[in-house]
Amino acid sequence: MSIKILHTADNHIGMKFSNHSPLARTRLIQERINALQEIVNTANNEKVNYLVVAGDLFDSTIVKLADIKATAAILNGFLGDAVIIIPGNHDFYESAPETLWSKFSKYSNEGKVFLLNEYKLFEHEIGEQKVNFYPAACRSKHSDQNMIGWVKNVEKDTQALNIGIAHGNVTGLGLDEGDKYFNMTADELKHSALDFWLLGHIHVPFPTTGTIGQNPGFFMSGTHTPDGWNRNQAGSCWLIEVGDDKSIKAELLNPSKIRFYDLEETINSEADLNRLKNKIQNLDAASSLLRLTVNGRISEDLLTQLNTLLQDSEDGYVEFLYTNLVKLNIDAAYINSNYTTGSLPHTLLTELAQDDGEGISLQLANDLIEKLKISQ
Amino acid sequence: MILEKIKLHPFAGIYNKEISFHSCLNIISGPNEAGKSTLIKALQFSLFVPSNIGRVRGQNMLKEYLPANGGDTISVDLVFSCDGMNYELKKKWGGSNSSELTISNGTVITAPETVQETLFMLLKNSEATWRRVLFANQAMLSQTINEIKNENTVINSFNDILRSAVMMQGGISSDKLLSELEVRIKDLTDRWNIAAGTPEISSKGQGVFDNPWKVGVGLILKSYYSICQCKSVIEDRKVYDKELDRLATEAEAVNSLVNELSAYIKANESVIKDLKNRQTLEAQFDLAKSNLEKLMEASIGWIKAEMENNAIENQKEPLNFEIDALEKEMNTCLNRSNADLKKQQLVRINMIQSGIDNLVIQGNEIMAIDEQVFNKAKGFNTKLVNTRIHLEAQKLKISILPNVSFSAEIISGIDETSNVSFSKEDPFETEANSRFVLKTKDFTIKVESGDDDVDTLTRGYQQTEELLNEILQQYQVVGMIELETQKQLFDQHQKKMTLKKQELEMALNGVELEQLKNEVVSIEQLPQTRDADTIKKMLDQKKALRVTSSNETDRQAKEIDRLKKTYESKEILEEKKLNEQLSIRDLESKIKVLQPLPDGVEFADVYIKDFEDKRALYEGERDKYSEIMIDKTRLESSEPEKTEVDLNEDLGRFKNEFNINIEQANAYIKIHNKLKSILEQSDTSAFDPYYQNINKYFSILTNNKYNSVQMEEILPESISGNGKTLGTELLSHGTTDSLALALRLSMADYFLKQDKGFIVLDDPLTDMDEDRRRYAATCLENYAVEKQVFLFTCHQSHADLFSGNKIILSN
Repeated sequence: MSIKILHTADNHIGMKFSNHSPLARTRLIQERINALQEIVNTANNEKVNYLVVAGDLFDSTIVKLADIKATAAILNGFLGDAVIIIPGNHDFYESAPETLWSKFSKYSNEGKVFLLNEYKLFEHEIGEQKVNFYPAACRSKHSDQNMIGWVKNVEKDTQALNIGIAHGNVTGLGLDEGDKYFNMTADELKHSALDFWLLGHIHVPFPTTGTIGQNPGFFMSGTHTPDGWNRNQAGSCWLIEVGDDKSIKAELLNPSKIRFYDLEETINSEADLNRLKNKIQNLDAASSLLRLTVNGRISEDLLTQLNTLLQDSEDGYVEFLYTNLVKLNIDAAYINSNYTTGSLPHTLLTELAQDDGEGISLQLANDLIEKLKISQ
Repeated sequence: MILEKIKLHPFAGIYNKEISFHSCLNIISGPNEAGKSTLIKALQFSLFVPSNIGRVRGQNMLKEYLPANGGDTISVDLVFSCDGMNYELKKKWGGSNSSELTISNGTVITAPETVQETLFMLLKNSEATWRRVLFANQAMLSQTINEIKNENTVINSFNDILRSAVMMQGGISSDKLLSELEVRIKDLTDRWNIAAGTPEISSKGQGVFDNPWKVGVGLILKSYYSICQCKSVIEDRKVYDKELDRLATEAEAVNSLVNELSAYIKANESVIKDLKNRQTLEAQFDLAKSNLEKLMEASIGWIKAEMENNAIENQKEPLNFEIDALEKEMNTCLNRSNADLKKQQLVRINMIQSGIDNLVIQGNEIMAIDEQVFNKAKGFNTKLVNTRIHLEAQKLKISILPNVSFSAEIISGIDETSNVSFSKEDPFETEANSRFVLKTKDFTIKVESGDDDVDTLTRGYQQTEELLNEILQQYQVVGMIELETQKQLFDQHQKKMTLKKQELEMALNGVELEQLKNEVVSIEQLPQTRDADTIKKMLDQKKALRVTSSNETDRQAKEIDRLKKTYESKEILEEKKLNEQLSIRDLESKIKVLQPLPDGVEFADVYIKDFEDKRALYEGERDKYSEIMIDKTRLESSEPEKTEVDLNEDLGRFKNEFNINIEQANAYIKIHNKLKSILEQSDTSAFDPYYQNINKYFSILTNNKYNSVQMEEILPESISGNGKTLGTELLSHGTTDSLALALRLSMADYFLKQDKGFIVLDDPLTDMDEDRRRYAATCLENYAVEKQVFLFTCHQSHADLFSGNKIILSN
């Protein structure tokens, strides 16, 4: 029989989103719960056997009890065979009482939800199919050592489906300059002699293609809903189907509609402005956070249009931040049309335009002159 | 540029109208709403508004001028000449916009931008110049000037309008611009060293992030401090994360050990408890056993002591009897062995006795002198000798030299009395002891020496001598010497006798002679005995045995006493024995049910010590864990609000802000420098023609009433003529309008220079009285000789003042 696994990680329930507006913050915090619910719904619909959380289910070891309860309740709603969780580096395992995982265990269904915090084989069976999980939980936030070392020394049952679960960076995939995020190499993963690994940590999926038909050796689920401006991708998780012959079919799912868009656009013409307008209008504002930086040089008319566009776009988005660096195109025509020939502003702007046509000085000088004109 | 023809088809309310212009003066008149403003707008549109105007701006601009009867396009054609060339311009705005400029040389330009660029080139002045100077709304100017009369503050507005029209400043005060630039530079760079790219540091080190400026902080420094602060917070966050990692790892390691130890303790606790009980019970068992042994020993000892004591007591009488017998035998033996000695003793005694008997016989021949008497005699003799010696020591030397002979008795000393005859021829000389007495018949001479009473002495001497002599006579001796000799003989005999008696006593050795003799006789009759050594040896053995027995008896008695003291009685001792035996049985049963040592454990002590060590370690580690968790909780309660990712985002923003501030500061500095340079280079004399033209035109417009306008920089300050000077604020409406028109014409001259060009005046004569209008008409007609003039008016009477091309617009 084939085995279906839904692989998620980096859910970061309880993330605070301090750098966002109160409204956006509330929405983002709730979305992490909602998207987890969406994962469980999908898993139930797809009749998934195992829901695997490869670390960082929670954002930290200190999470509000309400979030812990909500998370446990969602996972308890999984109808498959087992939820397999390992603690990640953000929600690392502490064996003390009254810590995150002890609280979580109080509310999770112990017959269904399995927290694998020890470095030992976890055996499970579905009918006659043995499924062996090799967990590599984190015990701290940072470590220059990964936790998978023990796996290669364990004798493997080749009849069983052998699946590793770990949390940490994989060299070449994510950034770990300080080598402090349980870094693993593809070789290490390969030489552990498992059928494949389910990993978490880097918040982006691997493989990057949406549907795959062969075993890549390891999967990164990506975060289930994006969590910052540097996550331009959609939230993701893998639906993996393992055949009797251990063949793999996997599909990358998007359990969350929330998207972060961090755009930088250059507007030098009406066409550029229209392109931007289309881009903005084509986004699903109600599920999007947009941080836009625009630059370039355009006419007063286009600048007015741009400002109108930016102001009109403020409403509707989960969050809309923009930095308008677009400058008025202060060329000879502009100067001639606005200032009397030979006048001080005309002379000043003309000389500045000749010296530093692209520079900010021209823009600032013009702004200043306009301001003085109005005040006088 | 000279305008020749304009066609509006349509433009605002005009659907299709073509108007031709003269190259000099064009008077366009008509009532209100006849289309004058529309015509002016159409002119401005055709010259300045590109056909491809942006949608937003276009919509705003065009909506006012779209055909009133519908349609989305307005259209203006303009024919003009410039520098010997003819041009035909066709522009459409709105729904179907287009531009087309046909030049007499055959060139046709249709690109809106190019058309517009060409137009500006031909116009020679900027759009602003045209809009503000050459298309001026004179009515507004006049109206504003009128307000000056009633409201002094309006002077500012007047100045503004003039200023906005004046060339050099372009509506901007250079001082204000400079000042504003300096303010902005200061706002940005306050306490920031632009050249060094660092904060300004005071001599006391103030300025660095750790000791920041509190006031006067510019935006650059503010953003710099923000960056430093953010970096500091990031470092704090890193330290927090690192410390949390450390505590978590340490807590995990310690807790893991605690759990391991806890499991060990739990698993081994009952065994250890049993082992400890076993140790205690076994110790108690050993003690009970030891006690029992002691009790047994005491019990046995007690019985044994009593038995031994009895045995010794039983042996005591026969032993004493044996000793007595042996002692008697020994005595017999000794007596027998003393018999010869006693016989010898007896012989010797007899010999001594014989000596004594001889001495007794000898003693009968020796005078016995009483010791006391002898000593008395000896004392008398000594006294006599001493008295004589005393007297003899006091010698008297006597010399008698007689002149006559005579005889005399002489007593010298004590006893020498002599009769002596003296004669002249024989002098007498002698020595006398102490006394010399010469007795004659005639006299007696007595001489005595010293203090002694020689007579008394002499009498004492004689009495002593008599006593001595009595004793000597008693013993029939002649003198003291003989007495002493007899005494010595007597003493020697007595001594020998004493010695012999002593010798006898010694020989008798306390035994009476008779007894000794009897003994000798009895010894010879004693029975035979064993030899003395044998008897002695046996006797010693028996006595030693008796001593040993006695000691043993004492010892046993003491032991029994000790046992009595310890246990009171044998019954109590037995009871204690029984109790100990019961206790031992009880302990045995208790020990039997205890858990044995686990497999592989050889020594309980080692095992218990290991357990105790682990328990101590467990307790220590548990405390340590609590402390770590307290530290961790404390640390977590101070968790920085933002994550490192958030903070890095903030840092990026602050850096960006800093860079923008730096860029702006540099830009403002550049603008400032540029402005100063421009101001330094500006040559105010360049505007002299402008000032001269004002005087010229104002003189004509006031019919020489005023011939001079005093300018303060760019603005008219006062006017003068005929020795009278008036400030502009005191001018009448009419004079103000005249001055405004003079300014306008002067400005037009200034900008158009020698070129042909046009000026558009909108009702410039409204507030002028009739005379002033006439002067103005003359002035403008003269002006129109050189430049093309478009004068718009809604007053037909004003239009009538002018000759030239008159265009009448009607509703």
